[in-house]
This record gives sequence, C-alpha cells and structure tokens, in this order.
Amino acid sequence: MNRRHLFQVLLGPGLAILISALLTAGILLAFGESPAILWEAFTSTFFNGFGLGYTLFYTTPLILTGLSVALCFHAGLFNIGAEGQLHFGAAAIIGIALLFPHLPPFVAIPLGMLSSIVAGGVWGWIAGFLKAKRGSHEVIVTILLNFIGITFVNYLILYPFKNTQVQNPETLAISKSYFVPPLSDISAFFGSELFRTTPVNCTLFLSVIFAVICHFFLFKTVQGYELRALGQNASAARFNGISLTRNTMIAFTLAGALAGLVGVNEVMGFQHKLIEGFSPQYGFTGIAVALMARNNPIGIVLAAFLFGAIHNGAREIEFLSERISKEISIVMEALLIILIAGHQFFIAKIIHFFKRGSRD
Amino acid sequence: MHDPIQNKITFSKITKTFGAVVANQEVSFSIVKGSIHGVVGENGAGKSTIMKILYGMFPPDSGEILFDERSITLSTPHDAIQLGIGMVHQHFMLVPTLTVWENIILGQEPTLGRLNKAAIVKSLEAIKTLYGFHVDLNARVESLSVGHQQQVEILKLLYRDASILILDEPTAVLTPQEVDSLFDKLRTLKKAGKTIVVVTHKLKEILKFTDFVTVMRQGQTIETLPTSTLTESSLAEKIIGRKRIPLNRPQVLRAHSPILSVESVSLTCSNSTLLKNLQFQVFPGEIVGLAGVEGHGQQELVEILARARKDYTGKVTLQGKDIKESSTYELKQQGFSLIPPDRYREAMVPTFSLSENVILGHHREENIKSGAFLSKEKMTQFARELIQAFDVRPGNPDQEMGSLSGGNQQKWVVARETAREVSFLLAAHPTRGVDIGAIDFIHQHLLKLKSQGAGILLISSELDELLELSDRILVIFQGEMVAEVEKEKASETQLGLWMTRGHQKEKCP
Repeated sequence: MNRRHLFQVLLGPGLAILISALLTAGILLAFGESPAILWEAFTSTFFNGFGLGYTLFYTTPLILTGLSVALCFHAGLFNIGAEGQLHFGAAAIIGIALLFPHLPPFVAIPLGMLSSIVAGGVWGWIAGFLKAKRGSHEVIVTILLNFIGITFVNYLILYPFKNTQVQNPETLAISKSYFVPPLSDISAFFGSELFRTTPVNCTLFLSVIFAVICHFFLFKTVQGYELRALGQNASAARFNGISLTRNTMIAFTLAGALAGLVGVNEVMGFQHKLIEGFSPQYGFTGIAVALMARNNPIGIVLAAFLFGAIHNGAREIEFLSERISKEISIVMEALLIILIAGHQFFIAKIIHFFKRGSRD
Repeated sequence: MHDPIQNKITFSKITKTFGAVVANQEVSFSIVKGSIHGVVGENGAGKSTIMKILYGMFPPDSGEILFDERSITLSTPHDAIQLGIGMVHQHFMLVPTLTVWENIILGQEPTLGRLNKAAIVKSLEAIKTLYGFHVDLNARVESLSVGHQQQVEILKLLYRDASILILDEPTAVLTPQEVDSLFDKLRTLKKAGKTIVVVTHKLKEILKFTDFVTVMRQGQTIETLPTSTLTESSLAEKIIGRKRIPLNRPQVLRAHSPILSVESVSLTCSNSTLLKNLQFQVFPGEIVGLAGVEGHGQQELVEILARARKDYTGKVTLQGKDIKESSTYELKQQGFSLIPPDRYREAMVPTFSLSENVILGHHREENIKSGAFLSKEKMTQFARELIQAFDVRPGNPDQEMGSLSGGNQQKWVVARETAREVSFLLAAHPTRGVDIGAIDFIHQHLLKLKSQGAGILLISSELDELLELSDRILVIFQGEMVAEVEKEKASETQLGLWMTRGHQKEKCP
C-alpha cells in the first residue's frame, strides 16, 4: 500500500471525524457551553499519560468487540450479540477464579482467559446454531440472547457470586494470581510514571495480537477463505461445497470467543471483580467500530482507539462542564456513524467537490 | 449512405471512457426513421454503452447526437423520455406485485388527485388493439410469462408515446415462438412509424428481422449496412474480426453403464409439483441436451444435482453411488463438475480475485494449501496456467473477477470446473450472455471433454446450442420430461412446441 493510497483510505474517516467534531461543538454551543472544552477534552485525552491511559483502557474492549462483529460481517452475518457474549466471558472468569483461587499465576492467567473464550464462544455458538439449524434470523436471536445473557450474568453477580460484605451489586474479588498486570507496572519498571493510576493493562496487547491473528485467519487460511466466500456470495460458496451451517456456527463461535475476552480486560485487568452494568455497551459500540473500519482487522484497532478516545473525552467534558453530561459521547459517535455509513452522500461529495475545485 | 432526411438518430464521433477503459471510441452511425435497426457485437464491444448514452443514462465525453437532424443533449433518462426515446432493459423493470396497468402508469401517475383507472385502461386498450398486444391489464405482473412481461415493458413505452424503442437483448429469455411473436409486434410498430433499435448478439434474429445492422467491435463502429447484404457467416466474421472455427463433433461409442442416473426424481414444494418423476441417464462420452423454457424445473434439477437441496424423492447416482451419500467435496474429487446457470450469483465471488475464484470448491486440496493456510504462491501459479490455457483477459491473477467481461468470467468458470479430470459435467446455460468468440471456445471445450469420455448434461434455452452439441435432447415442461429425441431426428420447431405445450412422452428406441 503506497502513501497516496493510504492517504485516500484515511481521508474519508478523517473528514468524518472533523465534521462530527464541528457538529458536536455546535451542539455544545447550543447548550450554552463553550466549544473550547471540546479542545480541552481533546488535549487531555491524548496528550497526557492519565487521559491516554483511560483512552487505551476503553480501546481494548472495543478492539475485541469490533473484531467480533467484523468476523461475522465477513461471513455475511450480523452479530449484535457481542454484549451478551462479553457478559458471559466476564462471568466465566469470576466463576473459574472463585472455584480455583490458589493456582499459580502462570496457570491462573491462561485459565482465566480460556474460560472467557469458551464461555463467550458457547454463547455465540448458540446464536450460530439457531441460525444454521433452525433458520432463525441471527439479528433477532442475538438481540434476545443479549437480554438473556445479561440478565443471567446479573443474577450470578447478585446471588451466587455476590460479595455480601458490600452494598454494591458486585461479586467477590478474584485472587491476585489472576491479575493481568497494568501497563503502569511496566512503565514503573522503566522508572516512568506513564499511565500511573490508570486501568489500562496488558490485555491491550492481547487484543492487538488478536487483531493480527484475525487478519491472518480471514485472509490467509482455508477456513477464513470459506467464511469470506460465504459472506460475499453464499450461493456460489454453497454450490462449491462450502457448508453454510458449519461455517455459520464457526463464525458465531469465534465471534463470541473474541467478545468474551473483554472479560479479561475488565475482570483480570482492572476491577478484579464483576460489577453489575460494567459494560458501557461495548458490544454495540463494536458494531460502529467494525463499520468505521470497514471490517478490516487492523483498521479496527485504529477505529477502536478513536471510539475509546471519544468515550474518554466525553468523561472529561462531563468533568469540565456543568451543563453537559458524558452522554455527549453517544451523540458524537452517532454523528460519526451517520457520516461513515452515509459516506457516499456526505464525505465522497465533499472530496469530489474539493477535487473538482482544485482542478478548475 | 441514405437520404439524410430519413435519419431519426445520428451518432457523430461519440467517445466515452470509464477511467482507463475506452467504452466507445468515435462511434458514428445513423438510424433510419421507421426501421428496425440491429446493433451487434461481442460483449464489451460498446453496444450497451452507446445505447445507454442514447437513453441519457450517462453523457458522452465528446461527440454529438442528432435527433431528427437537431443536436440534442441528454443528461438523464427523463430527457430521453421527453424526446420519445424509450428503452426495454434486459432485466425487466417491473413491480411483480402490481397489476399490468399499474406498472404501465408507474412514474406517470398523477401526483395529486384521484387515479382515473377507467380512462387509463381505456387508452391502454386502444394502444393494445392498435399494435396487436394481448395482455390482461388487470393481471398481476408476477403471474405473467416472461414474454408477456416483455409486452408490458413495451406497452409502457408506447403509453409514454415513445417514437424510438431501444430493446436490450430482448430475446435472451424467450422461446422460439415468443421470439417470432415479439418480432411480429415490432414489425407492426415499425409500420406505424416507430423506430426500433435491437441490441443483441443472436445473429439469426438480426438477419431475420432487422433492416439495418451496425457492427461494433472493441468500442468502435465497424460498419453499418443493410441486413439484406449479409449472411450468418459474413456477419459473424465482421463481429469477431476473423473466421469462425467450424465445430467438429466427435462420435463416441456409448458405454454400457451410465455415469449419471436420475431415477424417478420428484420434488414438491408447498403443494406445487416442481419436478415430476424425472428419469434419465447420461453415459460417458455423450452430451445430453435438456431443452425447456426457463422456470420449468431446470433450476430445481440443477440444485438437486449440485446437492444444494435434498428434499426430493427418488434417487440420483453418480458412477452408481447415491449423491446423497457423498459430500460436495467428494463428488468433486470423483470428477463431478458444475457450471451453474447463473454465473454471477452461483458460480463466482465477484469481489474475489481470479486466483481466489479459481480455487473455489478445490480450496481444500493439497496442491492449493499448505497446512491450514492457503498458499498464495500455488494459487497464483495455478491461476497463471489456466489464464494461459483459456486465454482469459485481462490475465492478472490478482484482478477482481467482477471487473472482467461476462465472456471472460464464464471462461474462468469453465476453466475452474474442467481444470481437473472431469467424469460428469453439468453445464447449465454455459454460454449465456457470452460473446461469439467465447461461445466458440466453450463449445469446443465441451466437445473436447466429451471426446475425453466425460458425460455432459447440457441445459440451455438456446435451441441452436442444443442442436449443435447434443447427442440426445430431452425436453422438460412443467417439471416433467415430455420428450426425448436423438439429435438427428430433432427439429427446432418441434422442440419449440414441446417446450411450450408439452407432449406425450415418446419412447426413445
């Protein structure tokens, strides 16, 4: 990919970000707030270790859910169920960690990860199974499985795993051997204070590695080839012996497993317990992330970083302003999605306009 | 060439490029008022482009269009319609759930006020009687045959008072009888002073029905001349720019045991019978043609043979083994190949590259992959060999298949399906929408496979093709095998009749 091509690929999203920021500034103005706080939030999100630490912390789950959604998209399937799948993954870690509290870290950490992969994968597989064998529509099924999954996990939090010592709806804490080290530990090792007191942890690396794995899986392996062939032209794939049922189940299982890993970031990396409502809809934001990255695994890392930054920036705005709450992030994300989804109507026209202008 | 006053349309040095591709290069020809004018050429010759320019679908880069000797600019189809230029697209633009008259007024209905059905129907009835159309105006479009749907499309243009009718590949989906009836109507329209432009690559029809022909090749107009001066072979030579290679049909002795055997296969779906007690065999080294109007069970038969559906009764065996008992992959390993009827939808992944497409169905074979990974090197190597053997252009293995012309796409599908040893080939419409050069190539290739001992079931709606290639022809009508004839005893008219009306099954000696 040469530099010019890269520029063209990034031009559209770049413009979309700019326009949505301007529109958000307009909204702030309309509520009687100075748009300058947008800039302030921007700088404190990117240009100091604390803000960046939180941004990267939010980036991690969004990479995973973005990959989860994108993997299904490649197979022509729509996974709206990442939210439920990640709840399952997180709950499984708690279950395993409470069941085997005394394992050494080199066993405990892989086991915790594996449990989240398996639990998320199983929850994803159910959707795939219902779609493939029973013909249910995956959108309906995954939405319904979200309700069931989240409710079931909340039950686990409030009853079997509940920490009765506190008033909050949260589980007992997991033992130290399950902790994934925070990045501040690594920077402290080098004598730096970067990311100090922020929750960003090594799961970030794990999610980036999974993005690379997804890329290789989709574009280099036989199995990935089958998924993509199905997604691009299901009847041609079927005529050539690519099983729709089998691959639907594979896609949803893998998607669920990826979403399940969000639990690692949340439970093993940060809270060390599970709190009711821990996910600010990572699963649904993952859809936007995948959409923005056009399902490209590497692009998802970048898009997740952007959405992580918006999420963190909105927290800053809430802190800085009395009038604006952090839900402004939803507004900005929505604007971004509209601009990206309506690429042909907005961005392409603008680019076209300027190109013509420069030629005349 | 002709008296200039007669010219309805004159193209003068029209050039149109799409990116680096020159679709039309200085195209110039005239269409005589009140004539039937054929535009012929291979796929990608630019005939659709020039017609779309005339219909205002995109503006030319340079050049001029004269309409009744006046220069015109068309920026949208709306402009063209205003001038009385109408087009029937290859794929009909009808709403299946609406009735005929509703479809006809669609786009012309009053935006405010009441729809005066009585007045509309009355004026439509007048048009119908004037030009000899027979369509029930109150029927739903989805219940009509393809031929009748086409009549609706033409009526639509007449209702808009079009004086020029452009028909893009109008006969692609029609039976011989329907073709005759279509051209009868076109002749009536011509007598009433309408100008008709037919874009097609069927030489017989051009010769039989048109007054003038414009031959296009590689984006340029080669010649425009009166049809009466042409013969089928001279026209074909002008189109492809060289002589056609005559087909040599090898005779192969029939083996004792069939390669494919279909035993009392029936298929019913929600109370309607799609296939009724099909019974036939294909032997090694023979081509069995299956004639029939589209939608009479061919698609279902293809799906059954391709193992895409299993809800049938009866039995299909390949080399004596029930195909239900093997996987598609195993069948492919046994030498079962399939050219599906709908190339774009069923045979290829348009967004995949040539090399990704050519391994479809063979992607699990050892010579393609290494471990769980696809070997890019092996894929490219394999693709390069086939590109060479089948002369596919452009021959870049990394090019998206969707960007190739229809003929090259089809060659690529044929290449993939016959690259390995073939014992049985199901070829459904193998040359549909393909230019003459590629048709010749594919026909030769099928005959080569036959001479190598492959059994071929050829499904086609082109009787020419069936008569040229087949050893035996079966006729399917409403899901039932209504006739079986040896090639020597088959005639086009008889087959056409069986295809449309069915027939008491004749026993083949």
